[in-house]
Amino acid sequence: MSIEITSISKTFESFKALSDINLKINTGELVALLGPSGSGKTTLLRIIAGLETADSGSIMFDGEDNTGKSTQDRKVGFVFQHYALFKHMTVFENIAFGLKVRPSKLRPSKEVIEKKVNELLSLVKMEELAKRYPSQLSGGQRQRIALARALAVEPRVLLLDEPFGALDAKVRKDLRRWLRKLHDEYPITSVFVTHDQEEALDVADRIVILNQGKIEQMGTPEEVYDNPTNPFVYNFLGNVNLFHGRVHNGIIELGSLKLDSPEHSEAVDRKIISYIRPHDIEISLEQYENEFVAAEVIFIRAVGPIVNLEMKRIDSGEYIEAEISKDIYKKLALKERQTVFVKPKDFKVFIPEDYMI
Amino acid sequence: MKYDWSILIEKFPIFLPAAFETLKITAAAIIVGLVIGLLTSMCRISKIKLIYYPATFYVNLVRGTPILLQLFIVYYGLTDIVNLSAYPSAIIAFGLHNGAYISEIFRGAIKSIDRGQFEAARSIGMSKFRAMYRIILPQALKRAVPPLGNQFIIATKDSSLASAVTVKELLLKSQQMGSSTFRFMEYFLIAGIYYFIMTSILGFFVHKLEKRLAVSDR
Repeated sequence: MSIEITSISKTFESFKALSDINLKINTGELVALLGPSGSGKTTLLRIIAGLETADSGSIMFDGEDNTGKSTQDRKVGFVFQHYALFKHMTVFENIAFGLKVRPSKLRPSKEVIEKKVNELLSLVKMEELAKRYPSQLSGGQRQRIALARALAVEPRVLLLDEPFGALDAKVRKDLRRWLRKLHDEYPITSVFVTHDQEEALDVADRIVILNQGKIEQMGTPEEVYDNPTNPFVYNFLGNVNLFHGRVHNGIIELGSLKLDSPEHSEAVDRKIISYIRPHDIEISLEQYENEFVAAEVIFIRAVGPIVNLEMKRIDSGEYIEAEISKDIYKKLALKERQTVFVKPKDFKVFIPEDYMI
Repeated sequence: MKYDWSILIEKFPIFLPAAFETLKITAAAIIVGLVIGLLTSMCRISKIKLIYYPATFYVNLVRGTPILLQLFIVYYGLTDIVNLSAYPSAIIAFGLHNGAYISEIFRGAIKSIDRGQFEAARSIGMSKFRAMYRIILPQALKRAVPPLGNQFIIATKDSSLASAVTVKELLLKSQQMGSSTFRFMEYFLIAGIYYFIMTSILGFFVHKLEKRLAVSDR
């Protein structure tokens, strides 16, 4: 089932949570609403669910206007960050409850409910915990039960509010993979909120990046990561190095570093900021022309397969973060306080004035 | 004057009927209080001003005036309008008094339930009313057990004030026995022992209930 969000705005007293949001979510898609705290992602999710009302705009489910409908009439499944399992009910009762409280005409028989609950318990791999209470479960188990409860009522849309936010890193990673696999098997239109870039890039079919109540960019994980449309998106999606400089007739000068930028061939002596990802920094022990810039190695963290380096440019004093493989690190035999030469393999240039608010 | 401790054993059984009267008044006042309390707590969490303000006024009025005064107003005031004996007057007064305190216990318990519980109930297709009585209230009642138990114990002891309007309960019995023998201390002690036994038994059962309800929280 598709969701069409048109011109949605929401204000809390003087705080503008959402302003003129337009978004279409296709049937069977798994979409991540990604953004920092206060960006409006949870508000948007709650408006889709009907738990919050928008000041203006409309929400359409498969072309049918749902803007004025109550939560119970929207047939959505909602998974809360802190699970919101019914504490006074067992796992089985929690999942079955949505079916048991249906009007008598729509209520399945006891046998059908039991069969459905058992199917869901096996889907979330929790068959043996049916008689336990939520307080007797771990965080990851509670989250899976919350998901099973949401799926029990056969929702048209599944909404998840920071579903893994309250869990530790290892459990998060496992549940992330599990959710992706579950969605592939059970392709219900799903929207989840997260502030974890890695989570969004890992799980979603499409990512919607929000900031201060506005959509900054939307696209597939590859699109938003490889082609960020503005500095905010670039900054938000992973670590980044900022090189300040100028551009003139397609030549970028970043201190002593000179690079070609054909897309800025019209620019006449304008200030720029070059955005470079840590893994896009090439390191050499020798200097070649104006392509490389001298830097001093300040700190080395050689844990795992990736080595993180912190360096300081000798010409401008700007700090540079780089990520290199262990093999390259060993080959270069890098040490702290050593002078090396760095070059961006890939970069994105933004002219600050173009992105002023 | 020396105390005659043999009276404690000798006259203890004589107080049983009065103890039953005390229990009857307490039980009736608690039942009335629970009904009023539950309804008032619902009114107190309502967004409808026409419901909210009268309920709030009632709670503040009862909590802001002494229970003995309330008993006298009901007994002497209502008997001008309807023919009420001391016994129903005491039940009405104590019921109204307990209702106000119980309503605040329920209101606090309802408010303490995480809003997510209500939203989760709504998201699986429940109406507001249904979510309240199937999800919120069962959890709130569980949380209300310790303060309710406390209120029931207070109600048991407050029932002694019914003696002021001639209800033949424990305190009046001990006053009457004391007056006829001038052995006030001994008879008040007997009454005290009865109150202590009743409140201890009540406390024991409340504690048992608390532990039983805590299964889902372990």
